[in-house]
Amino acid sequence: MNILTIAYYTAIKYLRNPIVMLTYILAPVVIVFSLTGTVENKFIDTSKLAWIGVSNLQVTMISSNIDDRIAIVCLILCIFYGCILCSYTMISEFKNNTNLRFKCSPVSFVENITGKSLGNVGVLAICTLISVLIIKYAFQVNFGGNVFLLILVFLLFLFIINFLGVIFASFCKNIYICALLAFAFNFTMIYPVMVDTYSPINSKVIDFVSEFSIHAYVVKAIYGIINGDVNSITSSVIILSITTVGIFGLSLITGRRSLK
Amino acid sequence: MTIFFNSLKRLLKNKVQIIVLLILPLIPIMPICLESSHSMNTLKIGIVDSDKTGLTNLLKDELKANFSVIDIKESDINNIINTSKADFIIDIPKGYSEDIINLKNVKIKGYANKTKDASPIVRPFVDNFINPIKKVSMDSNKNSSIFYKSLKNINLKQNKNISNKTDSKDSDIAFGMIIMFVMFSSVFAATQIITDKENRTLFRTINTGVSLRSYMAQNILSFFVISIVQIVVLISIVVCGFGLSPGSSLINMFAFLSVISIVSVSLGIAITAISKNVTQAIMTGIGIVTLMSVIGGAWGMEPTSKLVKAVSNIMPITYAMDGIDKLLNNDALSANTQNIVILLAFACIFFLLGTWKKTDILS
Amino acid sequence: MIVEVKNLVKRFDQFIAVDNVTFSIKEGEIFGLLGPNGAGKTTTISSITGMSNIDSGEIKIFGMSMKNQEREIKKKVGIVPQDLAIFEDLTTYENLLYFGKLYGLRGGELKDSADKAMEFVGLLDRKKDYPKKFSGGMKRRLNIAIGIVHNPKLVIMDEPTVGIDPQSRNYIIDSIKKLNERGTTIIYTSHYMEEVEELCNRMVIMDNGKIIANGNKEELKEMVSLEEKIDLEVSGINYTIMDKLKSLNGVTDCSMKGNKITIVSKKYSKITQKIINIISDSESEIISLNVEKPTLETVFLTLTGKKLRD
Repeated sequence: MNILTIAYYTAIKYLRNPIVMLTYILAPVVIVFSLTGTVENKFIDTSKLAWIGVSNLQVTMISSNIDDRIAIVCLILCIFYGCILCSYTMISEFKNNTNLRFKCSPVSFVENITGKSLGNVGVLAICTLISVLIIKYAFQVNFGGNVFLLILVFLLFLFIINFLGVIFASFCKNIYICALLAFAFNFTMIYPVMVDTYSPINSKVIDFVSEFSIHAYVVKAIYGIINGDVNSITSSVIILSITTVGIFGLSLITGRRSLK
Repeated sequence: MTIFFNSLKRLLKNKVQIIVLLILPLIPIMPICLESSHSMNTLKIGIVDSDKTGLTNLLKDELKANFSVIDIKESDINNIINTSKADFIIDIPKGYSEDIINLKNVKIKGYANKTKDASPIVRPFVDNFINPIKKVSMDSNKNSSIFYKSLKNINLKQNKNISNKTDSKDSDIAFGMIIMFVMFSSVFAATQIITDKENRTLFRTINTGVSLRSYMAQNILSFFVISIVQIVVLISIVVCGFGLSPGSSLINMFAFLSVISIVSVSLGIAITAISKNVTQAIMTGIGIVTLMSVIGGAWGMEPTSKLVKAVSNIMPITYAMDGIDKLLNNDALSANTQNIVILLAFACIFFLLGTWKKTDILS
Repeated sequence: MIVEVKNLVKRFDQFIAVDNVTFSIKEGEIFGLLGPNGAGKTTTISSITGMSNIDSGEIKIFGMSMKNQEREIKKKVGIVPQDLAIFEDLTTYENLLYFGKLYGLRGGELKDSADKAMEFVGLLDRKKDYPKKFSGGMKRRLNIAIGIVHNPKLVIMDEPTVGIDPQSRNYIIDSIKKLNERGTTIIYTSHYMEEVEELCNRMVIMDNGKIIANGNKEELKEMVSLEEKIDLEVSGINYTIMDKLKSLNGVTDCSMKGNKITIVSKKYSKITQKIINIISDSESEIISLNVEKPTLETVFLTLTGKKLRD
């Protein structure tokens, strides 16, 4: 019951804050809106080039689902910043001294972290759901496939980012540094996915980073769900589940040292 | 200059801050720099060669000299386009060479992605290759041996005016990351002013007889010095360590980034002026800088939506990235005069926004 | 005994913050824990509340050991920390409900307790307001309310009145007395000696991690002072009066300045009536008479010294 109580009050604090809600709902929407279909940066200004007369090339246009993939990658990119919210939840309790009250109350550290994690994930899940609905219906992005699997993948990702937020907060109780750590981690993880989406290349570095990239597995799982690729779904979900458990354990260890 | 040195000391006071300032930015820059030299900007052409003749081999060789070419199967065409493994596919039908020799009006098939149509680049290339060959075939009188002999005598090499821009997009993104982190650091440094207000040391300082103007000027100077130090360290690592190209002149690049650091500092001051507390300032700053960077092209992606493009024109990072782009293309610093003027104008606006509110402290 | 602390030792690396401290607290009393800055009061309180681990010694609260039955003990202990510990983005009522639930209250009992706590501190009319709009005194009161919402048997208050106006302070002191009348045992720390003197039944004074004095206020005052001072203002003084006053049994010093006489006598000399008789007999009139006894502040400064602390 303590876990649910902590989760409830953690969530309502953020649900009441319009700035937090708007930021986490609109940021993915704005980024997707900006970048969907943005691959012409690769080309030079072709307005100078013109051809006159009959061409030797007969071109057929193929409609691709590149926009959908860009939208999904941008969504994952923006959702990850939810870990800053999670770091803030931990850090704010030191600022307003309520961590003392938790220490003196009959609530264990594990219950505390679990409750806060549930609260944070709840808020982020609501924001993600609203963003996904806007992206799906307003921008016509294909989020087809098994809805329950999609929810599972997103939830696993949200739990991972929550526990990462706890880990960042345990390194430094300064929200600025946590935000920068989040940015650095996010960009490093999303980079191979972006390269693969925009312009796949053979690169050992990219392959190496994508082996350890949580974002890559999430995107792979989502593509798998949309395309009905069972193997992709299974392998990605297993890896994400193991990662969630592992990062949860790590967050308890690091959090116990500096957040207790 | 007491306030200036004190401010510098506070900003560099502990190891964590120094690591965040100088080492953390390298984490996202590293994979960009370590990636193979294969440029993201190179067009990828897939070729389905059902003909496999000397002529088609010549075409393939010429394409390889200008683009990144992969051989594919006809059945994979849709999938290759959908997964962006190639930007354009050239499908040479069987019997094409013979039809050319026999003066038949045949065309090579091309397949392009509807959302990123590469045909404006590939079409003239193919035309510039095939049109001379058609002339040769007219002269060879449908004789294939004369045709191939004559081919050896003509120059089929294309001028590289339809070049791929050999400058690597990787450098763009790396410098974009440097600009982002300099802006982050400037926002954080500027929160020192809010901290001074909160813990009342600002009032102590003003009561010593130091004018508010002097206080602000010395603090701003210290923030500028910090961002210059950051730029120097990061450029050194990226250029000397990872070997990324800074364009024709490293000094030009440094000078341009110094102008950007003025904008960063002024943006930091503006953000702290509108924020009530440190946390709000940091979150606002990070949000604004990230959004500006994504829309402005610091992440290597530019928007195509007209509305968003219009919005990006009122963001300093757009002009910063345009300047970086020009410098990486070996243009002189003077080619960036317009960008520098615009960036300095942004800096003035941000400074005005940031400093006019400070007068209420005394009242 | 509701709290028993035996040979408590707490170290931070080489520094011994609490050095073999032993004391006990009876149920229903208000117990003062005094000492200069750095004496070890907060560390002692942290050890009692389970916020920090101890190096050696034993702490028993309600007859239960902190090591083995921490959770049960914590359910019955309330804390009012020195620094405000409230959620500014939850309303007054929500703050109380939140912590009430964490302490195990549910349903109707929880709501009743929250209402009573708000009424107790005088914030019932601000139930739905956010603490960020409150004054310092109101925040302090909410801080107390959260510490008592679960009706604890033991409440630890660490300088609950610091930085607030006299009206709020008086209100809080009266509330503490009412709380104690309800049967709650209170451990109280403060640097305001007049508060401690007014509230506490018994107190210990700590310095450098050790207890240097233990007892009620009378016992502590006895420790440091053997004399009383009497200040008189009379209508007319002459040398005859002065001689008679000096010759009284127990008087150690007698001086005059204008119409004012200062007499220093040994404690329990019981000479006040004799002084009045001497003045009356000399046909002078006593305008004012004041018997000055040692205060707790005097005791504190005498025992801990007047040197500034870190």
